Amino acid sequence: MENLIEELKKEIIETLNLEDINPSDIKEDEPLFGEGLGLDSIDALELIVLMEKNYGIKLKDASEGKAVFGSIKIMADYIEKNRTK
Amino acid sequence: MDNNSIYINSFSQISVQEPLSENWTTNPIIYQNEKLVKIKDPDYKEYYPANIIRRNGKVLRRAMLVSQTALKNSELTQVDGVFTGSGLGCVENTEAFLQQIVYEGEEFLKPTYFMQSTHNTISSVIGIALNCKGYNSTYCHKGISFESALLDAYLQIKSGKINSGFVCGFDEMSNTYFSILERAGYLGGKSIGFAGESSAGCIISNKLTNNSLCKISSVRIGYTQKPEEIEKLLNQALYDSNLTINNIDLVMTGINGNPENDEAYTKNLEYLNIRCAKLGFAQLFGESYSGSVYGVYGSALCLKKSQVITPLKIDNKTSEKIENILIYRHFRNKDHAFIILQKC
Repeated sequence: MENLIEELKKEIIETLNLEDINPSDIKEDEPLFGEGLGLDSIDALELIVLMEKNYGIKLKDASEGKAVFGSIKIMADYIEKNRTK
Repeated sequence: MDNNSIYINSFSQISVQEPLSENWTTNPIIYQNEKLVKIKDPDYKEYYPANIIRRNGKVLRRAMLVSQTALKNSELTQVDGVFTGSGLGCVENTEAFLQQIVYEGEEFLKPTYFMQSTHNTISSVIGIALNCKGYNSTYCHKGISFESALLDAYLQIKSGKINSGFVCGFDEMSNTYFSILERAGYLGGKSIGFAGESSAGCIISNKLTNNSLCKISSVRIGYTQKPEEIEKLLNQALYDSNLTINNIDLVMTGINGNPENDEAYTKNLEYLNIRCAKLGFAQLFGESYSGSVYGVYGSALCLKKSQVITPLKIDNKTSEKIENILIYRHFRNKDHAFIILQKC
């Protein structure tokens, strides 16, 4: 799980072009949207593509995404349970 | 004040010269051996928060800053329309998007590349940056993209539909696109000049302010290969301006070091009997589809300062007075554009 969290942090930084942010700056329990990293709806689309491309997880509706992207820890937990690759 | 006149109220540029500065007029950066030079971007962190910077690609950051700086310098608080000329639009993102399709298939495409890969994204971002909810249009007419945008704005102000507009030229030059142009013989290769990128724009309006640089008295565009048709176009521009060819003090050209391009200028200027001192912008800012925006910028500054800006000179002729400048741009000797700027 720890390895997956670290891997996810790096992928998010790269995919979302988060200049000036290091993996250590992203707190595991901090919300990804609104506060915390301050991500927006376009970032949510990027994360949905990331989940499908890297882990084979297809999110079917937006409300599901809202819960899954609650924090890095929640996201990693969801990937661990649902990944197909 | 002439109520029917149109003025350039301000100009702003980010280029291969020092960005957001007029230092190039006295202390230009000279590029001698380069075939492709990319724009020198300012540190956008000094102007925008990190989330705005990461959300917008390179050309969009340039568009935001150039448009807002121009508006700030114009003594106007709002414009009625945005008129963008761009031959290639957001070509770097377009390439990234297409490469993803080629190498990774159509299933996992990045939304950001998709959203920022259309030609009119630039104009939309400018509309948001300037809080302009009015007219917004993009002209993608290769070498006369900027002139086409200017013509639209000019006609709309002239006809009383709007009072002001932001008119600009933006183009990226990716390595891939440059290599295509080089192979086709349009840039690089035997050319003496260099390929560049463009990112500049001006506020124009029917209001004369203390900062106004000059008056735009004509914009004419035509598609022809017949010299007599080109002459007709020039005569229309002179007629609009109430001038004869003898009143033209300087001619700004698109001479760029490419033999075929430059030869057409020599022949056409000779045919048109234009014998005044010649200026050029490509030796300073490089050639790009909407690069002539720097030609208008340089000419407007000459009129404001009432002197020839030395780095723009491309021959040894002199001019006694600087009141009327003709800007002549052709694209592959098929599209021709004439703009006349006058002292205000």
